[in-house]
Amino acid sequence: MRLGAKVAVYLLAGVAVLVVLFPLLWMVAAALKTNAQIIDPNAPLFPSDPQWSNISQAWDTAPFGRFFLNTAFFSVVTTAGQIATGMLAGYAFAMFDFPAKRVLFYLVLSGLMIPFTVVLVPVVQLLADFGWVDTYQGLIVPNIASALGCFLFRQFFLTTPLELGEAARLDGAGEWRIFLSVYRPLAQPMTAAFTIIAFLQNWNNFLFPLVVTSNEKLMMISQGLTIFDGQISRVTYNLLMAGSLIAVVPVLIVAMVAQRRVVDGLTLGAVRA
Amino acid sequence: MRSHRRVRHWTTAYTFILPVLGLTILFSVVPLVMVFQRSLYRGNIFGTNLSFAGLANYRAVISSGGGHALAVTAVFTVGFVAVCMVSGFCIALLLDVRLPGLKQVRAFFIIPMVVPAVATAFIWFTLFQPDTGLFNRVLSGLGLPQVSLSTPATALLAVIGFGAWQFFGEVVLLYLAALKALPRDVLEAASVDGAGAWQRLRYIRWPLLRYQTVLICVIATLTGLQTFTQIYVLTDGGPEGATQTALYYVYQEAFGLGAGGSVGLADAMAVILFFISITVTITQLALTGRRQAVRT
Amino acid sequence: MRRIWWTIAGAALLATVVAACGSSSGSSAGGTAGKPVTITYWSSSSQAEINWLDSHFNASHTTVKVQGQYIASADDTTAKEVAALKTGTEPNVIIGQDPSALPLLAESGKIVDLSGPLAAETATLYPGIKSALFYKGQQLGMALGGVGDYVLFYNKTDFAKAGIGSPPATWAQLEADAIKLSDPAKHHYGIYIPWGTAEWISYEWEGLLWANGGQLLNSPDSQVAFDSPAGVAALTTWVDLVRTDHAAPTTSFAQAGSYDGAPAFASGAVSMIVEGQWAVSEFNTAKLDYGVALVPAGTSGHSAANIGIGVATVFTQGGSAAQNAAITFVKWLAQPAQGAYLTSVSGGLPSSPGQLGQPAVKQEAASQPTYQTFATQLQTGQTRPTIPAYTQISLDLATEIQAALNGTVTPAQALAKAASEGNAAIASGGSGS
Repeated sequence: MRLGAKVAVYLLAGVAVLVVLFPLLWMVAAALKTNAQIIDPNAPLFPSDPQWSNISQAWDTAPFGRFFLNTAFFSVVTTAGQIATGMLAGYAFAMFDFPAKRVLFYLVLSGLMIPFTVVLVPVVQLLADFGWVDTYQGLIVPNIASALGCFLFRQFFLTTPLELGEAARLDGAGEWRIFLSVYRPLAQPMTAAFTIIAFLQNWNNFLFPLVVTSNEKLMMISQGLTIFDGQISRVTYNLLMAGSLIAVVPVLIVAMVAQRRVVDGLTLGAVRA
Repeated sequence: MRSHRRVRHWTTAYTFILPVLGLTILFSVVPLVMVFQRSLYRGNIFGTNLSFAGLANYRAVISSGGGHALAVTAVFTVGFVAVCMVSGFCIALLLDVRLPGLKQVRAFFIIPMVVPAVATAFIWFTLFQPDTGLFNRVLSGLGLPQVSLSTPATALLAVIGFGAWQFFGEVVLLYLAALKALPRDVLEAASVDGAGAWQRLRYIRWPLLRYQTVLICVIATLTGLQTFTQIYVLTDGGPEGATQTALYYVYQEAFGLGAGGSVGLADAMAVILFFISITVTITQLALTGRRQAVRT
Repeated sequence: MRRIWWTIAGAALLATVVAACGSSSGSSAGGTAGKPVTITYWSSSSQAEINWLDSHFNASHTTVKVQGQYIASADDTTAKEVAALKTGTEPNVIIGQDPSALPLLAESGKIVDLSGPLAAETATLYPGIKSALFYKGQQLGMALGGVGDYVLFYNKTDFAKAGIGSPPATWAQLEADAIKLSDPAKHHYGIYIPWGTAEWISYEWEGLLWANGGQLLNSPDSQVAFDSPAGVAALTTWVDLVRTDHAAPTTSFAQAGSYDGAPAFASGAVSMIVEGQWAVSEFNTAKLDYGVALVPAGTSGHSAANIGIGVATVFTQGGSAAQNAAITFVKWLAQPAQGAYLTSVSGGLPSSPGQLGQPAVKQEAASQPTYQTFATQLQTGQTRPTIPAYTQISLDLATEIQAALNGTVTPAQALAKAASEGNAAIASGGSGS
């Protein structure tokens, strides 16, 4: 390849990366400015004396620790539940024949076709009738069933050989044992990829917790950030950016460390084909 | 080849599928039926005086801003998908070039997708601040008039832009995976025959990617239809409903204060949204089925 | 590795089950014999204010304890309240800023009528404030100290530079002054006209409507009346300032759910702004040399402003034990001492004569140079109508005002559309009569 083309490629790639990063760079710059620098249109873009105290001030203004704890709890439990329910059902649909299997599979698939946002209103009403609004179980239980997980794991198990299970069955192993010891470990790559997208989706879930939660003690980080936004002084947004920084950094670190897995998870859409 | 199982395995199978099935019915299927039913009733916003109203809600949806919301949804989704697909494809092509270091760059494009949307939404909100926001600084530096989120056109463009910024990384990754799966031998033979990069792209790679393109397009469309957080933080459906998509209309009618003020309107719009989504999803499934038929 | 996952999942599932069996962390009264009844309340005030109320009330009461929570900015609270009432998760008390939103909430059937339990306290209120609390004979809330209105803030430095001697007394004069003060090329404008589709926009515009002699509704509250010539003139004044005079910014300075645009004045981007008491501390922090004056007079010859009243509302949540506890809390809030605290911390005005004698109020009146102007403005203040359709009317009005400011429609068209939507809302939602 000619040198000119090479340079062009690197340049364009650099521009693309800049497009991805510029809001985050802006956030860091703004988070470290003083009040005066924020409202002065002539102040330079990057502060010369970073105000790290903004971050600690933001941390103290709203219970970020609590928000992170809630988000972590919700994400872990919901993801674990989604893996469990999806894998079990996918395995059963792939490996067994039983009456009404086709119908039941389409029923589960219909869950995939019904966007959660369409049924949001009655689901909240249902939770209200159970008395589950503003509770942990109200947040978690509606999200535990994963039709997507069922679909993906079924696809996967369809490619695994039946003979392994046959052999174990002849040795006298029960169905549970066969699933746990023989087939579950085989699904490791799919499980890893699915865990990532499920975890990300759950961590960043905003609309559902927004309408189900109003008690600050249960709030997750996304909703907590909107509460924080309402409480800080309105003239300055350096604190707001500091709050955003607090919300963004942990996720960013995890994503960068596990980037390989994240990319795998995000491209499951192609695998779906 | 699946042979029949002995009877006692049925109980195992049913037990295994029960959690997913039960929860799906409880939290997806039953509520969907309820949405259909509730869309046929009118009453005050708390539902304390419901009366059957047939299809009146659907008519009211169209007249009380729902028609406008559907138009906004169309414009937003088309804009969102177009920007994502074009930019995603171009960047994927760029990163597919076999030069050192480009493979690592791929990792950057997951960032907008993994960070909490609310946090980045606040960032984008401040980018539009008059005088001090980045966009307005650049514009006034160039001597151009400033932009504001209170102008309907700017607000819609901002929401499309922000939504696209968040999602186009996924398109990049999906296309990259697809590009890497293209048959190398065909491409090498073509370049040996003297085909340049552009001709290889146009006559070999692009046609082979056609199926993937439709698939990614469908995923992008479904994502576009589900857009909420960006609108909530940036514009709250305004100004003058310029960024009020169908989904946002449902949210405002059901959980806040919409223009209609009657229960049942949110449900009617939700039904409409459901039919739109299901059309898109069925397209996807049909394509998947066709592909599997081609493979086996 | 997978075993760890299953253990975590199992433990988490167990924890969820335990949490489900335990009491939910919603707003339950939880009072048994001997234990104090705990009630929760929502507020859009600062966390500091909430903490003060909590600590002072809990220190002086043994059978009732309160816990306050910040819920949203003043413009966003109604949506949250509606959502909570629909799902039965409303708190025991809500401290809001606008009695006009209460009839809408009353349609849920969950508001407790306070005319019996708080008759004595209500009788001490100023008459204009008291009448705003009643709807269909029921008292929907108790007015608290810290009544808010708005006045005209002006930047003395800018005025001196432009050679303007005193703040404008009429809107016509304001227009002339604003043009003189504006330099669009340097992004400096004479006055800020609020952008956004929120209550604040209607709240501020209604003042100009009244100053022109117009009314929001007709006498029996059955039809809107703001599309009168007075209203069209009022909206035209705003639209002219933005579009033809280029004397007001075309960009919104809204932040964090607040649409009054204080940042515009605080950063020096505009020389004049109509603002309430809460902005005073912001402007002091920004070290501006500012002055206050009555809102300019309209075509009727007199000034007018809109009044915001802090209101505490009690809900049926939690049964009679919780309701009685909530009423105890509201009664305490209505005492002159608490009224004085709320007045002094918000910079607002007293809601009853009893608060005037309190040291906190006297000190506030003496130390705040803006206090007197706000108090004088109150004499020409009006409250928003207390009907269920008000929230919808206000929303439609704000949307159309936006459209007119954007130049999409003319002022007459904007008000006509808002009027037809408002009348439809009244017809379907019921009016005050």
